Formats: sequence, structure tokens, C-alpha cells
Amino acid sequence: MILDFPSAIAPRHSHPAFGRVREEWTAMNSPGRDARLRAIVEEHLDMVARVLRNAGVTEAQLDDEIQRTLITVARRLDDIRPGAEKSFLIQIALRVAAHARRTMARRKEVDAEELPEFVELDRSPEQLTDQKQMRQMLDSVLGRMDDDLRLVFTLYEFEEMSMLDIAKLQSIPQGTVASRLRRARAQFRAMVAEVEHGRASKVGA
Amino acid sequence: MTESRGFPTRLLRQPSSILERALLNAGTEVKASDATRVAVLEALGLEHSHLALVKPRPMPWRRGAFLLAAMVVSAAAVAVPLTRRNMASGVVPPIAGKDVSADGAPGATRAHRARTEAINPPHAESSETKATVTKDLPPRVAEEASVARNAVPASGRNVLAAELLALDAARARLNSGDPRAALGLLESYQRDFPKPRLALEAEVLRIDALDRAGQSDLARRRAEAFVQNHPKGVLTGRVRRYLEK
Repeated sequence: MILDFPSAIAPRHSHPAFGRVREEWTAMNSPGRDARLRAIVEEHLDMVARVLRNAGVTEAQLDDEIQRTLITVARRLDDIRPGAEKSFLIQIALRVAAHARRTMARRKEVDAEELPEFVELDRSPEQLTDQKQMRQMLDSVLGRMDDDLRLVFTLYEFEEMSMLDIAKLQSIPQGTVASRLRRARAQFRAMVAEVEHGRASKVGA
Repeated sequence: MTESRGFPTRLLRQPSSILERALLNAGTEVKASDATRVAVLEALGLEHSHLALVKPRPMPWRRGAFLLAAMVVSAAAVAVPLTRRNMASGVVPPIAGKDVSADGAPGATRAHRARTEAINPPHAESSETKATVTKDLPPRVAEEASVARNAVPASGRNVLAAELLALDAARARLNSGDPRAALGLLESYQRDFPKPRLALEAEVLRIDALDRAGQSDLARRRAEAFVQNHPKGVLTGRVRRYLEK
């Protein structure tokens, strides 16, 4: 009986009869669903936090946006093919982050420490091992990158996605991903070099 | 940057400077706090007591507890792949049509047979659906209830596992077309677990069972109360959808 089966064989949208059965099936008592949701949280919550943070969500916003992401995913669980959870999560997280950034920009009264302040490098060894400072510095560097470039950069360097997967996720050609990654790295390195030489300036595209 | 067959090495593998490495590390070291983890699980209506800061007391090594652990472990092995943490918290997905082999505990066979029979009831079931929804439960169902009851030990983690088992049995009954037996099991569940952690799941099950047992008015009333008392969470979405049908 379909009700007992885990979502691995969730019926597809296309067939009208399946739509009705699926509605009943998801309406109540889906223990397979709960287990799947729990597994997603256990395995991927840190990844969601990372993607959000590196996409520009601030520390103060982070917990709320993590919750928002997972709740969205839970609502759309039936749309996710088994095995595709990770990329779905990343997509949702990116959308949530973009929305959070827009909300932040709209609000005029933004806390001073929320802005990607350019952290001065004081050349002390302590600073390099100070996680908080490094994070702030990274925030400011990422915050100054072009959105398109930052996206490819963070997915490639921090999520270790392949260029093919990034291309699929964004529905862009692989060549575009490759060129954006090249330019992103150039921007990143140029900005880090600026920090190292004590000059704060935005790097032109 | 090394370009070999168009696959550039990740920057972190060959940072240009110590500063670059420190920055890239900062990018990978983001974690969700325990508090957020708990909040997320709660928002999704999932159990999270295994994340409690207080360490649970060690499991008493009674026959019931061992048997329960064996069934939980073997159940997890065949169904949805779960992490070690999940298994410890006692999440038991239902097994449809699978043969679960429990570890060789002395009392395992009888309860194990009861469990698999509950999920795959033989066809001579129909006579049992006439059972009334009171204490007069058919023998197999009563045995399931007592398995869950006997497995209620002291430590918090095992109470949860016992609750899951009890609700699992009720669900299996419901899904195999026996809503009255499910309601009976739910009544046992209420008696056996006066402070249930899975009260929400049990209530959703009850609403479904009432509806299928032909008591739609009562089901509706309980569903409306549920939505009013628990406005947030994924379970509420399901109950709302039921009300909209």
C-alpha cells in the first residue's frame, strides 16, 4: 500500500490519479517523511548555515534564516527526488539568503557591525588565528564581490561543488561557470592583496 | 591556479598566502548551533530530546530494553538510511513488507513476529475489524500494546523509543485498513504514556483513524482544535489540508 512506502517512490506530479493519492498520502501520518526530514537536518544543517553565511546572511540573521530554509524544504519535501536533497537545500538556502539581503538593504536602520566593514590587517599572528576577525574580514571581501561571481566562488571553494553541478544548479553553461570562477578568484585575490597592503578599496570588475 | 582538464584545484589546496588560507578556512568553518538545531527540529515537529544537554542515564539492561534496542537497530538497517545520531534517538521508520531480523535476544522472536505480523497482516484479518474500540483488543494487537508497555524503562531515550514503537504499531494498523484497532492502540498509548512526547503525532494519527473509522464529525472537531492549539509546524499543515478536503 502506497501509504507505507518511504518517499523514494513518491508518485510524480504528471499522472492525475497519483496527484490525488499523493495528496492523501502526504496529508497525514508519513513516518517515512519524518525520518527523511530528520536525516536532512542531521546531515545538512551545518551546510545550510555555511551557504547562508557565505551568501551574505549576517550572524544576527543566521538562526532565523536557517529555520526559514528548513521549513521551506519541509513544505516541499515531496518535490525532492531522493538523493537530490543537498542541491535542493542549497538552492533554497541561496534564495533565502538573497531575500534576506534585500530585506537588509531595504531597512535603513542597519547596525554598524552588520555592514561588511573593511577589517584592517594589523599583521599580528593573533589576528590570523582569531576566527571572529577572519570571519569579519571574509565577510567584507565576499560582500564586495559581484553577486554572480561570489555565488560561483562560494559554491566551488566552500561547498566543493563541481563546475558541472554549479552549472546545473544555476541553469547556466559550464563555460560561464568557469569564466565566473576565474574572475571571482581574481577579485578575491586582488582584495586580499589590498588588505595585506593596508589599502581598503573596492576592486573593479 | 592549476587548470588540468578544466578542473581548477580548489583555492584552499594552494592558497597564495597565510592570510588567504585563514580567510578560506573561515569560510568553511561555519556551523549551526545546538540551539538552532533544536529550534529547527521543533519547528518541523520532530523529536529532539536526544539533543538535551543533560546526559541521559545509562540504559538498564533489562530484557525489554535490550529487545527494544535490537528491534530499533534492525529496523533502521533496512529502511531509510539514518545517521548514528538518529539511531540513538530511536527513530523507527515503518517497514512495509520487509523481513526484519532482530538480534538473537531470548524474547525477541515472539515480539518480532508480532511486529512483522502487525505490518503484514494475513488475509484472515477481516473478522478482527469487527472488534470494538475498547479494552477488548484482538490478541495480536493486545500483544503489540504490551510489548510497548513492557519496554518502558527509566531513561528518557528509551521512553521515546517505546513511544515510537507504540505509535508505529498504531500507524501500521491504520495503513493496513484497520482504523478501529489503531484507535484501540492509541488508547493504550495514552494510558501507558501519561506524559507523551509524541502527543502531536498521536493526535494526528487519531484524527486520521477517526475519520477512517467513520467518525468524521469527531475527527473534524479534533482537527480544528489541533490547528487552533498548534498554529505552527509541519504537522499543522497536514491537519489543515485534511480540514480543507
